[in-house]
Amino acid sequence: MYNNIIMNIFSNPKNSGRISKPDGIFDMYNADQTAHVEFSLRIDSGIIMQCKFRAQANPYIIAVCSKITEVVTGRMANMLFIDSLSVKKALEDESDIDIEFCLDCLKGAVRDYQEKLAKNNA
Amino acid sequence: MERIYLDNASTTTLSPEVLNAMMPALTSVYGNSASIHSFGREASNLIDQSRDTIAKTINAKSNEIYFTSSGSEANSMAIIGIANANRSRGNHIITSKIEHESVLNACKYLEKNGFQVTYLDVDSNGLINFTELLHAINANTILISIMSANNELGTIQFIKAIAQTAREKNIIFHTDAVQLYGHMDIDVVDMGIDVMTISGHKINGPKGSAVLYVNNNVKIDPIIFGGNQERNKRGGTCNTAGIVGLAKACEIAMRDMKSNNHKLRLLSEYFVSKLTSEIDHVIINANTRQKLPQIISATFVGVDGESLVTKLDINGVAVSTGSACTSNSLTVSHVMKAIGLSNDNARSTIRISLGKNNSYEELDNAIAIIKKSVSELREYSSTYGAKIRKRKGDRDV
Repeated sequence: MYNNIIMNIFSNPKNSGRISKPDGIFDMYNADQTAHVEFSLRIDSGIIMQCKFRAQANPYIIAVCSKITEVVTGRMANMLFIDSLSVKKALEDESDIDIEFCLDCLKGAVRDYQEKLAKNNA
Repeated sequence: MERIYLDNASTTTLSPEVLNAMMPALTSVYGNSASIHSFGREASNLIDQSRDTIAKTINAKSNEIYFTSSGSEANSMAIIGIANANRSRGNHIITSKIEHESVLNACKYLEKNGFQVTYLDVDSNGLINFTELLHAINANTILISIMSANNELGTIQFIKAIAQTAREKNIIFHTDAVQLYGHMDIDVVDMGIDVMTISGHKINGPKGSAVLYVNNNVKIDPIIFGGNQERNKRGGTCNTAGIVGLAKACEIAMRDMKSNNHKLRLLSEYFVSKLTSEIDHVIINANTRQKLPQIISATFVGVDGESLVTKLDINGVAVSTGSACTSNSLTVSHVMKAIGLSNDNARSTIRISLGKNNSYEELDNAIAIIKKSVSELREYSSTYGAKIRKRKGDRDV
């Protein structure tokens, strides 16, 4: 059902859990409420130093989240751009399952960071 | 790694007795049962004997037994074949929301072809409401199809009462008895069942063998066309070995029904008791005596059912999702939806179905693995025990 890459990540997901006192955090369901994910971020000088995820979702979504946490670490929070195709490519998956909501959730966590930052600067 | 099979509602192991019975038809008796020569007659004789054997187990006549390749085919033949043959009488069909996909999809097909279908609601245990059934019947109703026991919950409908209601109204009654047959005495005459589906591989028989019982008074059209096999109702060369195996499986199921049911009830009570005492926040769905004890629908709060099934599989335990998600479609089981589970709980549900060959030791080992797997998934669950912040406001889970 799932390819070996997805199964391997699902069996040993990286960066699972929640960062304590995160700089940005967001959680959301997908459109039909069949999967729920959360991303938390530690950001230093605008760079994502750590990203963790939690999920109640199937192995595929868990693998997607795990992969996203790896891809974003070390990147500038304010210039973050990840497209779903590149994530699917990394997982060598060709299914048409919608993973945009995972990326939306990550953007939500970045937005949360930006809002907190703006508040602190105000 | 020891593998533990707890998916017996999906399929069962082939009984050695059944395999032995099938061997002649797999080796020496290879004629086409439709041929007139001696090779064909040998096969035909085996099929006739099988028909007699199966008919007796449900108090039917031999010529009311039609062999098919699967329960799904038998269900499709029942729904579409009866609808087409009785169209002059009306175009309305009644079924329930928790039927097998082969019934639901056959009904959807008919809806596209001018039929009207009423899908009855069920209660939290999966039982239909009689008042709703009576209200649904109208002058155009030609068929009521309600499954005997649900494949995800195990809930047993009050089939005799439904059948009698249908008969009083001169409506044909079909029941998908794939899960129930072999676990309860079914007398089609006494119960008033007009049409019934039975499948071989659910009762330790071979895959690819099933039966549609059709009362001789019921008009039914074929849906598979070919020669004059199965009295012109189902074309295609008969699967002699499968049919012989199915008959043997039926015979054994009847012979061992009492002892099997007793064992399954004890195993199930042990399993459920241990599962709910050892793991927090487990909900047993359809927790009623009006069910097959061996089918256990369990909701593990905060855990995705498909992830749990996958993790259990990695650790050697075979179960299935109650919420039938696949890697290509994130959907929730229509059965879990129909009994009123929230989306969260529906997608946290798995089906554990015990079989007569399971041991207490296997169940102990399975529970230990389930406990560990649930704990691991809950460690990074985004919903378990947490307040979920949604985009619009906060709410508790």
